Amino acid sequence: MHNYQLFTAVIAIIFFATAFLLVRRDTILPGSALRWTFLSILILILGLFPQLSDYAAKLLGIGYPPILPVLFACMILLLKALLSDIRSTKDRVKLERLVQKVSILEQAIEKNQQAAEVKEKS
Amino acid sequence: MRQAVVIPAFNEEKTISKVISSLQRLNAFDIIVVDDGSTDKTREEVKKFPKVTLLSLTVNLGAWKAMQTGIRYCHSLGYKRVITFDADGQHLPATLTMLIEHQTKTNCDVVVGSCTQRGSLARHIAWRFFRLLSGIKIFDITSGLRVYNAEAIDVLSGKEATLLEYQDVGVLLMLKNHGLTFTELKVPMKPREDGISRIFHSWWAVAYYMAHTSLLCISKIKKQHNLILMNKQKYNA
Repeated sequence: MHNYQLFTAVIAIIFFATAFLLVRRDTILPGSALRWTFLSILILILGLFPQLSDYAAKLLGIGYPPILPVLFACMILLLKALLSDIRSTKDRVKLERLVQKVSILEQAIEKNQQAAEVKEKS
Repeated sequence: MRQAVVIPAFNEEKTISKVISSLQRLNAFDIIVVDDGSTDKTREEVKKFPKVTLLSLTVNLGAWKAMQTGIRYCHSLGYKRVITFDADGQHLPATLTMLIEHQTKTNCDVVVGSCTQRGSLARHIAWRFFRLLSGIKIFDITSGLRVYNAEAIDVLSGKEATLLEYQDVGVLLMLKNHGLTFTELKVPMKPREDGISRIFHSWWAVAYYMAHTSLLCISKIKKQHNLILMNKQKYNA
């Protein structure tokens, strides 16, 4: 085993263990947990056998093989950022509509209380 | 017909009482004030008027979303007409009857009260630019004085409308997408009594607004035509 292979394997194992631990502790949602587990397995395979990227690069005609996992990682990060933006937009709309609804309900409660007070007095 | 005036207010303690009093003199509308998380005494000022409905937002959501809160409230209570009115004293209550008469006459879903005499040269350039870009035949696209009918209230109460940031072009484009019609009527307005514009409060805000609205206009062009076609087909069917 080459030194660089040992290095990538250690990083991949740490990442896999961390992701697995987070899933085990329910720190991330089940849907995200599945994605992270899948990704950590992929990283683990690539970390243990970095020469796989050399074969893939040769197949794709890429002259500098180490760039392939970097490119792959960048694509995943960009996709993740986009998905996060979509999610945060949806959450923001939900939150803002809830704030609006709270104010409407608050007003209805106040109105009811006032009506009850008037009734009591009369 | 049940009709209401919706006034979004953010830190308008100096003008809100005067605006409410002048509207109450008309005795023709229910008045709904939406306090957009004010940090001054706007809420207390509104509470002095027992007949006025006050909706208090716990956090500041911005002018459009405050306005939408009022529109949603009216939607839930089955109001047939909503008039949006600024809290800074720019709009004149006397113009409301003119706007309503214009709506009845033209049978349009939305009437925009426009005052193109106001605003700087830069604002006039921006108005013309967005008019060209969006294809909306309204001069005063940033005017907060508008009359919406039941169909428009229905569209603007939806989730899709919560995604909008400003009341101007985005709202008009959305209404157009749903096949609603709009017109404008020139009305007199007073200069702002207090406070600063909530859209154009700094150069950065102006730049953001210009970029945001341009993107909105460009991104909706195709959608707009498709939806209009779809609506036409729906009506024809």
